[in-house]
Amino acid sequence: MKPFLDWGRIGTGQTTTHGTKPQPAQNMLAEIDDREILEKFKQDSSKNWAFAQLMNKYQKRIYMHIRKMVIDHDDADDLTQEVFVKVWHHLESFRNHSSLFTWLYRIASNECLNFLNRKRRRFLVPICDVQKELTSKLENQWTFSGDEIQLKLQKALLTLPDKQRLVFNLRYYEELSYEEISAITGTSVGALKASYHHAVKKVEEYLTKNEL
Amino acid sequence: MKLEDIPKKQPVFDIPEDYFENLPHKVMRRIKQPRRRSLSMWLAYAACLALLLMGIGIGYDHFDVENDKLGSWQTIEEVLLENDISEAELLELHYMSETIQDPSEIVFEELLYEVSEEEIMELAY
Repeated sequence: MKPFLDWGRIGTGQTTTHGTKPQPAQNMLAEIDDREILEKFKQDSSKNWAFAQLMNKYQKRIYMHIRKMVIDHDDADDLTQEVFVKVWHHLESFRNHSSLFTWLYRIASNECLNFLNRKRRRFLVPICDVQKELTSKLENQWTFSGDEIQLKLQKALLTLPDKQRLVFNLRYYEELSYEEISAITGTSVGALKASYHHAVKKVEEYLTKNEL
Repeated sequence: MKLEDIPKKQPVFDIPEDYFENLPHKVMRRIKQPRRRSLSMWLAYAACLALLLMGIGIGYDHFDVENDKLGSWQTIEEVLLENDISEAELLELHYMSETIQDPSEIVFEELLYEVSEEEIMELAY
């Protein structure tokens, strides 16, 4: 096991620093690449190659997005595989109404929310047990990194409802615009702003109550 | 405490070595496998099968009425024989159960069961 460091490989294969948003030029290149991937995927002779390019480009971001939601590696691994299996089966019918990137995030987000709902249904007492389980997994894994304030922040995030946590992650960690998050979640920009604002307030309250 | 007070860092999770090198192969293996059907899909199949069987059952009952009639007549005859009930006794029971209120409705053949041959001769002369 090794700590995951360079999660943000975007577009041209360059490694970004943590939390920095890709520059517009990189975005443009990424869009051209996506178009090429889509065209090549439609041809039988280059289908596998195109899919390999797509996975190489997005697998780390999708995995990390899922991992932040489900915490456990095995669950994140299973869901990431499921996301890309779905992508394989539906990519040909993908229309350019949204970017490939938001489409992938949309599938991944739905997988996460469905997984957490299924998990919740398995427990008779909702919310608390799942939250406890995720917190315990988080604590077990955090011993390697030793960054206590980051652990506290993650614990605070686990007190949020799933969808609010999803919005927080997309805004705070991925630094996506509200329009992009709206395309991913299907929620209006106004509702997203309110949701993020409330999430930040709740997180700050938790951090104040549980100050080190 | 404010969120800005915390340095923004991506959460550091432990990931197995070479995980991302192997992930595309795992995904491709899963793609080549036949797709798993969900539980809800199986339940839908089971419900369809149950409806089909019910339909067959109802259809069989509906189209087998003639056999049922024959079966019921045969059963009545068997019951009568077993209990030594004559047809006359059965008719009497039938009249008593107020099916036939008007005695004029009783036809001659039916009366024969009740009247002896001597009585008929007496009535004739």
